[in-house]
Amino acid sequence: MADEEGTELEAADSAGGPVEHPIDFKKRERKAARNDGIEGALNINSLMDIMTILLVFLLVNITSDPLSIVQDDYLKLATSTADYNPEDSVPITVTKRNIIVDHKQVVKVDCASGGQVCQDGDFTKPGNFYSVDKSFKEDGSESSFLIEPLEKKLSAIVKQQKEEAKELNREFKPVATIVCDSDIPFRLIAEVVHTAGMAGLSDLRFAVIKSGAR
Amino acid sequence: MARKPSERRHAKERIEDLNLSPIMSILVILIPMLLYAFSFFEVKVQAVTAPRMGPSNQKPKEEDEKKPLNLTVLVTGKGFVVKQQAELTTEPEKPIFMRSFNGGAEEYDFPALYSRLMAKKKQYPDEITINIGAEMDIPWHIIARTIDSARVQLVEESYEDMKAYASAKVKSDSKGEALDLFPAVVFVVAE
Repeated sequence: MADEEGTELEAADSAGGPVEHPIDFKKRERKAARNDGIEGALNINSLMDIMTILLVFLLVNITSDPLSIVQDDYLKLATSTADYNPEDSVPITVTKRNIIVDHKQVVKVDCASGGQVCQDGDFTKPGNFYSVDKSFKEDGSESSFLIEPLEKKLSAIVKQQKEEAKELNREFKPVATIVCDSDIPFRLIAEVVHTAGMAGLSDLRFAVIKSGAR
Repeated sequence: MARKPSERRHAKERIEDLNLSPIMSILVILIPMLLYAFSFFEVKVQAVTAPRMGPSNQKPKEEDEKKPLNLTVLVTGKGFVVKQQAELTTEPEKPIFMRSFNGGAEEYDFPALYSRLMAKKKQYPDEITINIGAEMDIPWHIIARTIDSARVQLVEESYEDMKAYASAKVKSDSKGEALDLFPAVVFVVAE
């Protein structure tokens, strides 16, 4: 080993270069490398890759969902084993507070809990009754199934979609998807379905959350 | 400042790394926003037809030899009432009352409803339409489960236990497609 080191030093001497010990050379090289880079910089390339993949995944999933439902205290969907995918249609959202069409509130939903108007904390309790005030119905009649502001709004959308379909030389599909809270009573559902039918939307679908158990 | 040619020659060219911090900042804001909007559940749809109000005005076609079954399930506060065309009824249908499963609280007897509907399907295999109605205060999640029990055929023809019914697999044909029970659901409202 000592002989080999001696041979190397002799070789360097014979080449005419300055004689330097190999350990010193390595130290100098490391120091140069340290000074060459940006001091204290964090390498975030890998993190960027993860973030970009996550961003693309989320964007693809969100844009491919035609309903984009966000559940909260006022909108919890019923579960079902139904296996039909939602398609592009007129979405009618019936929450415990409002009936929403095209992201705009059309009619207010009244909530009664034990004969009293529901307070903020009452919406999560079972046994509430949800209804639309008779002033929004045809002729102000309690027994009417036609909700006039909803019918007006849906008729306008149907008219617009028919014109668009005509311009694009396509067939108009009278499809509506009802996104309904699981506690909404049959009376209100029947009113919404009847009103949609009167506005020309005869093909109706109810949004549900897919569940393994029925 | 200009360099001397000799300095320029010996100066070490260094490629600066791209500053990713602003892009990272945007991503850190965008990802929580998208996560909030992201649905962690699978949304599907149940198809129904608009409700029929009161008695039908349509006159029955004289040439129709076969009378429609007109199978109707009414959801009440006590259970289910199954009805069909009076002329095709030999004996009155018994209502399906709510009952307790495994000592728990009383609930709707969906296994019994499915078994009854399956028996009807065996009697009238060509029938696909079912009318579903409910008392006005019955919540939507009960009606959704009722539609579920009327939609497709399950492996067994009848179920007693809720657990066995809830986890039952759908019966498929040779092509692997689910066999329908009464897939055309019509909402009915009794006036």
